Amino acid sequence: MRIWLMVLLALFWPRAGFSAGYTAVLLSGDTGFSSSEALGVNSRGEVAGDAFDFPSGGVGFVWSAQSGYRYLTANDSYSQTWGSGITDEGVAVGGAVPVDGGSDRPFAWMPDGSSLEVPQPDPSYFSSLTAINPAGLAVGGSTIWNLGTSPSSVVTHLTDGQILGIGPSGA
Amino acid sequence: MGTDLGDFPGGQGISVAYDVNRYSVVVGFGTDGTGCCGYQAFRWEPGKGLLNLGALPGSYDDNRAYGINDLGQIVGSSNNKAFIWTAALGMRDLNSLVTNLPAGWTLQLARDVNEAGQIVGTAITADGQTKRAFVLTPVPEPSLFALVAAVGAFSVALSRRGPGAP
Repeated sequence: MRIWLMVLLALFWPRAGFSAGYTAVLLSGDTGFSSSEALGVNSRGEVAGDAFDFPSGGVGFVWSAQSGYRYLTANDSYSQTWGSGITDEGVAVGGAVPVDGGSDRPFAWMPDGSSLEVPQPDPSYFSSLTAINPAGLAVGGSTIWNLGTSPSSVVTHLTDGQILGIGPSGA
Repeated sequence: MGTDLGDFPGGQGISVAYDVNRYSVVVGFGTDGTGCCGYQAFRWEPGKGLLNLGALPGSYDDNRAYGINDLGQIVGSSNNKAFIWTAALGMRDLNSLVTNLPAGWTLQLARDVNEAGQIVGTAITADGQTKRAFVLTPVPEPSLFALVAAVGAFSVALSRRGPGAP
């Protein structure tokens, strides 16, 4: 009996990250939005993305198989949001569109549902956060922010170019 | 201090880096000397430079790498199909690796991959009018070690039954 238990255990013990195939889940939000996209996933399987209808707009979300959808909302000054990245602690980053038609704004959302509008060096730029690393360094447009400080602070602001991703070491 | 990753030989001097892992391996896309205006997905490693990840069959000449994890698995899009690239197996169409994709949907691009090998991105309908976020979760594969252990355990079980066993 013990031997057969070992056989079963050996056969089904997963090798992290490598597989013969995949199972798919398509995400459309609780209320069945017409379209959606996923842009980031953390090591706990929490997905950051957005769901939207044309022309009414969309909303960012964090989804996991265990908890379902957590929507990324901002205050009444913003009409749409989206999520682009998420840390293993559940901090999501992305952007929001002002209702007055102004430039996109970078936002972060905490696991408790609260939102944080991240200050921009130049508010006239369209900007959002595209990625965040485990240390709380977030990137978007030409800027790197440290979201681990209160208030969040600008670490680097390039005069040219665009920063799209950031690694665990900050590279 | 910044590092210029450069572009492929013969390219138009355009390259975009999208993600970087713990080992400073960067992925993205750039231009090369083939065709007029397409993009080639790349993997860049310090001291080794740019590696062209290749392409899935198709005519778009649009290949982009968007995400990499610490295992070195790279995901992106190639000719409007989501791919996974590994050093051992090269570029593979994720559509051919999914066991339960609903009919009428194509995995168009993969944007990120986590340390467990889960992949997220966007799927699209055949008419191109509707998109859906997707999450792919690996189906565990028995390792070579597991297979050897299984065969060994099976042999032991057989020998214990003995020649007189029914």
